[in-house]
Amino acid sequence: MLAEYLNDLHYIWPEVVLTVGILLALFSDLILGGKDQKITGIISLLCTALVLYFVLRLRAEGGSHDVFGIVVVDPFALLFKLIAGIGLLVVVFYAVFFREFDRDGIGEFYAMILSSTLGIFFLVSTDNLLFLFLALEMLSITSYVLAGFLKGQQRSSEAALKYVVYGALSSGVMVFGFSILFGMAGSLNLSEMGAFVAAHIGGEFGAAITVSLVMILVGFCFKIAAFPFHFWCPDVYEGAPTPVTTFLAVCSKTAGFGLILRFMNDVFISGGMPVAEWGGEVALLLGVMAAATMTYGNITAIKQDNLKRLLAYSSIAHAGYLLMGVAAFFAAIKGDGRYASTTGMGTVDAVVFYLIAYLLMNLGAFGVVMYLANRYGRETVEDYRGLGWKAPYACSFMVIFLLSLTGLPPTVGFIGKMKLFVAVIDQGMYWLALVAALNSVVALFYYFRIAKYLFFKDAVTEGIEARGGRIQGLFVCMLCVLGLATLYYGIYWGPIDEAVRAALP
Amino acid sequence: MDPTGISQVAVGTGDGIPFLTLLFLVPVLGMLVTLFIPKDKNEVIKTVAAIATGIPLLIACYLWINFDYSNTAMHWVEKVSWIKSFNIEYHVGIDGLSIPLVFLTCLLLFIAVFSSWNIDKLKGGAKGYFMLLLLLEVGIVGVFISLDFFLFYVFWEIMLLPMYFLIGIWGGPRREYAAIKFFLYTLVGSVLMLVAMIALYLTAEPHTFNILTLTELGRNGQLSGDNLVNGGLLLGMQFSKWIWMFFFIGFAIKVPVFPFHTWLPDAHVEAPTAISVILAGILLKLGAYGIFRINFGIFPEATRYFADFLAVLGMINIVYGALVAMAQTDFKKLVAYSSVSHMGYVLLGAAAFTDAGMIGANLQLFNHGTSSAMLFLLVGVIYDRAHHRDINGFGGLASRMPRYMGFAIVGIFASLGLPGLAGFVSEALCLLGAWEVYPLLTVISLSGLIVTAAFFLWTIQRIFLGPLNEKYKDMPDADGREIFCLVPLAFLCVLLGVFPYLLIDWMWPSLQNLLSFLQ
Repeated sequence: MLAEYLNDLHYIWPEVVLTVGILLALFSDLILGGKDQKITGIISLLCTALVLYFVLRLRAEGGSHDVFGIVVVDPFALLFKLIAGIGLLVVVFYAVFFREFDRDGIGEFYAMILSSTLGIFFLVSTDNLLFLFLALEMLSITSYVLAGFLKGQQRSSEAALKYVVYGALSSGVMVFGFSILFGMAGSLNLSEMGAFVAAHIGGEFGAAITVSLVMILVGFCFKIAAFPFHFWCPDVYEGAPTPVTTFLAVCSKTAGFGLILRFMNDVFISGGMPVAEWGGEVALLLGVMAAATMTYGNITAIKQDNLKRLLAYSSIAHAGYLLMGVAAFFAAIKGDGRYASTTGMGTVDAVVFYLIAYLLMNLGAFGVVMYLANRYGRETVEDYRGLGWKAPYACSFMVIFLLSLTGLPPTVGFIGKMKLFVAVIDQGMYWLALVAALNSVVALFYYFRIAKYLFFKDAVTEGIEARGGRIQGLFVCMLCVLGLATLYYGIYWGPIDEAVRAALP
Repeated sequence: MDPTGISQVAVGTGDGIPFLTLLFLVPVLGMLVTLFIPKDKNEVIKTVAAIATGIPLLIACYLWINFDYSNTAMHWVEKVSWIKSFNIEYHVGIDGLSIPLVFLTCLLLFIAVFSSWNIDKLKGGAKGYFMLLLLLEVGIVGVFISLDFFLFYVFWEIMLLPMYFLIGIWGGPRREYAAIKFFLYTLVGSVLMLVAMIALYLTAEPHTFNILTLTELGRNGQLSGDNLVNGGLLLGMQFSKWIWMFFFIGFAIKVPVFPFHTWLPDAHVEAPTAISVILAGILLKLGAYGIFRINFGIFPEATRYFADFLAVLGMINIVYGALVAMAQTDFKKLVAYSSVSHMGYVLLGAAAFTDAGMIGANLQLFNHGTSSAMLFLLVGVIYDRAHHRDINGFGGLASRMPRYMGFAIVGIFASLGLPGLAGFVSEALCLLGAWEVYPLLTVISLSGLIVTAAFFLWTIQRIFLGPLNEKYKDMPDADGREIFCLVPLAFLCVLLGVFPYLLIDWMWPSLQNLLSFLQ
């Protein structure tokens, strides 16, 4: 028995290392007496690197494993762990350089962000509803704390409070949906629930099942900040410290989509759901939601001046693009009950690919925002006047990230968008593709407003001093890596394609 | 030859030298080299830019000379698998439709480098400017040589970014507005094109982005969308016609076709001289090239369906562009609107599907490329000296700037279609071709020709003739560098006016092939 448990432990090494990392971060804070926080940051960075190493090793081993009966370690989970892990690595790296963190007692931050990631890791690799909820709450609650981390700042506290209120409400609705579903199906296992749903959707339980699924959808949509459950997003993104904002925008959203995809897969595919007459309506509902989300996000982003707020709205828009793929998924299973669409390119493929693209370009864009804030203390578009000539490298990379966010070649963002377009057009949802296409034009306007201020305007105040010294050069190296990756995978995206395809059942 | 007239067999492979790849690879290398040159070494940067645009020009000359125009197949084809899961290939080649434009691109980019030789005296410096200029060349040349739709699209979009920054940083007073307007307009067209491109890709069985294969399928009627739900009928119009429409809007914005032309005067006027030259000389041609290669090539049936519509748009462009140009007092704006008018001939001539019309349209693309480029260079010369472009603000310059006036006369007369110069041949052929099919539209369009002659002659009168404006009595004549830029263009204007077959022979077989499916 014990040997079996120890053997199972092998598959959750990344989580174990994360847990050790959390403890180390806490202890180093105590030992150092809250003095030199960079050391805690570097320890966390090393832990994250180790986590990535174990994830990669498990990916190389392959196979699907059931650990302790509640954790599933399969290629899908490992891919999402890899995405979240890379996100975490970059975020921790940013945090080490983050100016506002240059003070005492900030070591808890690393413990919190590692805990949050632990939540994500379990979230994407479980098929047990209860455990799923626990993991989700672990992610959520630590996120609330992280959002309010700059205690002295009113904005930060406001962000945390808003996040808690909205988060608690949507969690409540979702868990209510879970409980209805559990009460009927009598099982916490997602696949068994799927079988129940498949058997009874047309029967007397039909209405109850639909209600519970809609409630669960509300919870998921809150997590990915889809319209109309996005209200928390801009305030939280603006108020939270920038590394936290990056984490929420990238890792948390990835987790949300990982959750949706796994739920969809387990409940609708593994359960053998005959959704022929049902998928079309869901596809339409999700399609409309996707269109509304991206349009709302893009239109609202136009008037934003604060960079973090602007990127918050842009991330809402991106959630809309991603939802497009989910809508196409339902349209596809309506066809023949499988989600391999006729092109042989799954709709889920497109979503996961876009998530990876989103990871790269958003990490990059937030990185530049943080860099400029660190160096020049500027965080609004208006204040960016002429900065492009002062920090040419960082700002040139910004242009690459903006191109990618807009979805223009030769960047990975374009490929992601194209794959989503292929997915929806293949399902005959031309209107959705058209809405999304025109949305990119709107997006161009506000993204390139940033480029305009960076490069077209003359600097108002000459001689703003660059702060931070030579160490910030390392930061630019990270931006360079992300920028080149954005370009490289925009020209040759075969490797990502293969990784994604290998991870999907 | 196969029944669709599209042979995918390569001719003139260039003994293993990838000439077409080099056409855009050399500028890319030039960019990378420039990146590592310190930004105060202006002379080095400019020399690198001149070399990086000069080599493609030499290659283009080589291709021109060795082009086997009796063969309608693609020349110097290179084909490598790129992304297997999407069946995307790196596939380039040129035929009679694209070789004149490739040559024009390389020539104008080379000239653009010299015409912006003094850019280092402005804010922003030479380094960024020339890197963007080289990137622009990559995009433009790439579009003309791409035979894979995906590749085509990537190059098409790559062009936008340098254009945006070149106008936005080095442009005139309203540069920010003009830059974003240009970007937004073009992007609307591009995204519609993207949607259409993907729909086309998914309709073709097996799915492919290969333009030659798509052309073959399209000509066999296999892309009409019959295999789709509802027989491909979407909102009462056939699938292929929708696709045609989307592509057309994408290209029409670039041409620009009325009513999508409003970005053009802004962009032209605000852009620095060299960029205006490229805009008018080549960027407008991209739209027309797209219409010929994609709309005419892949959808002959839909093109026939929309032919009348095209001809009417052409007529509107000619007359409207000329009338608006007449009302301008800004020299640059006048030239910009005259471009709108001149591009109308392309549409009108092509829409008739006659031999003369088709030749005229394609000849016009090249000839307008040289004459409008010349006019924009001339505007730049005078603007550098007087710092304004108000036509009424000059007068009597003929006595001060005889050399300058000589070139201006050639450029303007080539543009308004004086017999013996290039513009005459192409415009006459367009109208001749259109007359057979659309006599009424042709007659109306002729009024545009008269208006064009009127405003150009009036311009000459106001700038060069009359009493000398005392303010400009010390105005220096065009210097050596400026003449160096103008001479090749003036030479081409005269040469192609006297020997138009130097161009027609190269294009004719390919055009004939295109026409055979339209008539």
